[in-house]
Amino acid sequence: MSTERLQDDNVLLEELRAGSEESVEALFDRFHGKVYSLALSILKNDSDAQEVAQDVFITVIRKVGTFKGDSALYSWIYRICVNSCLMRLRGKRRNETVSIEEFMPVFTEEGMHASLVDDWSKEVERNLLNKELGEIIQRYTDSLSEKYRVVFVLSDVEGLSNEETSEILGLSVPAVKSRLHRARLYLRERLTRYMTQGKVE
Amino acid sequence: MNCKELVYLLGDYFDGSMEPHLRDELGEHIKLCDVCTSFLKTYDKTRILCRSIRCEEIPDEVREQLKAFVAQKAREHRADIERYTTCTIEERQQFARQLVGLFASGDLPPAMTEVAAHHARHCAQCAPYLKPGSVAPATIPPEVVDHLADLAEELPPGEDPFGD
Repeated sequence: MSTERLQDDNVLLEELRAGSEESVEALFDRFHGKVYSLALSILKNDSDAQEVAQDVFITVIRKVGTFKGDSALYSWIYRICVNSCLMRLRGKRRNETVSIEEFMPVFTEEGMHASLVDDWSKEVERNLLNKELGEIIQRYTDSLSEKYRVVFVLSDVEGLSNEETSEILGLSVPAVKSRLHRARLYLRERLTRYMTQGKVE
Repeated sequence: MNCKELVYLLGDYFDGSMEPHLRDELGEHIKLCDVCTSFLKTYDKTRILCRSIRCEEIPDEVREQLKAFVAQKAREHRADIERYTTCTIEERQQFARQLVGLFASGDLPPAMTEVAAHHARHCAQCAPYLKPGSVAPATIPPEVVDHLADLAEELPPGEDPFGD
């Protein structure tokens, strides 16, 4: 079996079902980076992410016989990964998440912005790889509740399309879009306060 | 389009799903509204900045551990399946041998005798192995084992093939 052929999802699935050793290696090589980084983005903990990655591969190997192929292979694997992360999060109570309502934009009755909006986008351009800023963003992202965070991580951090995220999470596309938009509005406002007031809340 | 509507539609604007006439309206609004221009730029910047928090490459050490773990689990899983399959094959052979022997000596319960005799009348392949009073053969070919082992399924529920 050439490794090239195992790049094809159907061939890979067939070989996994047949129990070939090479297919397990091909599966691992193709997905371990994505699985690990997704788990880490959701869980924020190296050893938890590693355990989730283990669970994901065991589940895929054991359940490959019952996978009907009605969704793409990667989205099935992502779904197993997200579910495994969520189960782990339910196990341990996370830090208190904030209410995102108080960070939503405010408008007048006429539908105009109720206050001026500072444009800090150029400022960031100059120090894009600022380590502190990275940590700040990380902290704000962490403060989102799972409902928003998982959508945000899949779409904006992992770069999946709304359709892909919707398939993985079993949500409608409008629900994905709405959660993503609100997560971004929240993060935009927090970053604005950080940029203009220079303090972390 | 007012500012509130514009902000509401920003998600569509950036994922490209916005209807052309709304996109035009948004463009018109932006030209005249500095506040929305700033809002749009910072919304976009937020999106882009957040991609930079994507976790870096998995550390080599973690990858090697993970890889060894997965390979080990895959081997165990494979061994489990093989054990299961071998065990079933042996069980089926044993069942067929017992069936042939008890049919020959007339010691099968009536229901199983009936099922086996019926099958023997319709299957030329199995007929030589299902004969009253014959001596049980040393080996039974796999095709015959397959047929005979499946006969147990034809018994009424709760009926034991060998009347134990």
